[in-house]
Amino acid sequence: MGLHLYCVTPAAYVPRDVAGLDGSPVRAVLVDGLAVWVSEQEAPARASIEGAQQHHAVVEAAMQMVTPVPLRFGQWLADEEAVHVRAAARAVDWTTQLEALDGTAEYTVRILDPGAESPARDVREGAAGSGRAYLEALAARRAAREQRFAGGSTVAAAIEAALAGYVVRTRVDPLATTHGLATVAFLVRRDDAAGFTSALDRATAAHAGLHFLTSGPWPPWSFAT
Amino acid sequence: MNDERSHLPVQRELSLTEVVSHVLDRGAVISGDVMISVAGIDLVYLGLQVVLTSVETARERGQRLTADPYE
Repeated sequence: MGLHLYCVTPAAYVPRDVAGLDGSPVRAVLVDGLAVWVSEQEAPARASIEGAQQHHAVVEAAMQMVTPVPLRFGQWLADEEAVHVRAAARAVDWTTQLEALDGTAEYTVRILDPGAESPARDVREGAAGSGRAYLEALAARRAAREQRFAGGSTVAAAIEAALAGYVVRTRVDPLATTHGLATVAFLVRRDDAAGFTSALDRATAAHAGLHFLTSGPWPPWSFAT
Repeated sequence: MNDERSHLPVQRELSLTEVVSHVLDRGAVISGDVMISVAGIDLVYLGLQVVLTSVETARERGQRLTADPYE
């Protein structure tokens, strides 16, 4: 029977009465001082909203005890031996990550500019049939995207500066939506959560005209590799 | 329109989309057989776009931060 993978914790933290995909019981495979949280699954799970929610619930259950290294949805290995082999290869790296992530959680901020010009959803809308016009429309769309991300990165840097002292690490990615400037992930010590959220409220309020969608605390999805 | 009534469904949808986005697009990789393809990630972005557009239309701030529930 194959195994679906959820997350990695120190071996002292193992699942108890945790339900995974389709209600399957979650157990730990212990490898080199680590616990890899798995449940039996005949074949690789297909991506679905329900599956993503169930996967996330297991990682959240781990988060109740300790900050885990979350594993991206969709990873399946044929048997326990395969888990041992793969985990042993990553054991040193994951041990280092668990130490660095210990006591932290992730907060996500999506920065949107309602005034950003909407690019054509389909570049053919702006290109009257010619190949040249099509390529120019493609280039214009890419340039607009890059410009939005540059603006988002500037705002993200200003917010990060205002949060100095609360943030352990920051990650900034493009936000590929019509008005998206950037997605910013902050890694924050759980002890600092209240101070961080207050400071974040103040920092975002300083940017009139932009919208900020904030969520958290999350397992450190954006900081696990 | 009642502010609260228009806001709550957006929050739920945003929360769901955030979960899907985080789980499918982030996290460490151990296996070479990750099932989420580029197409899958496109779907996540598409879903986000729908939700974020709704949020913008409602002129709401979206999901509020909460205190750490793990303590």
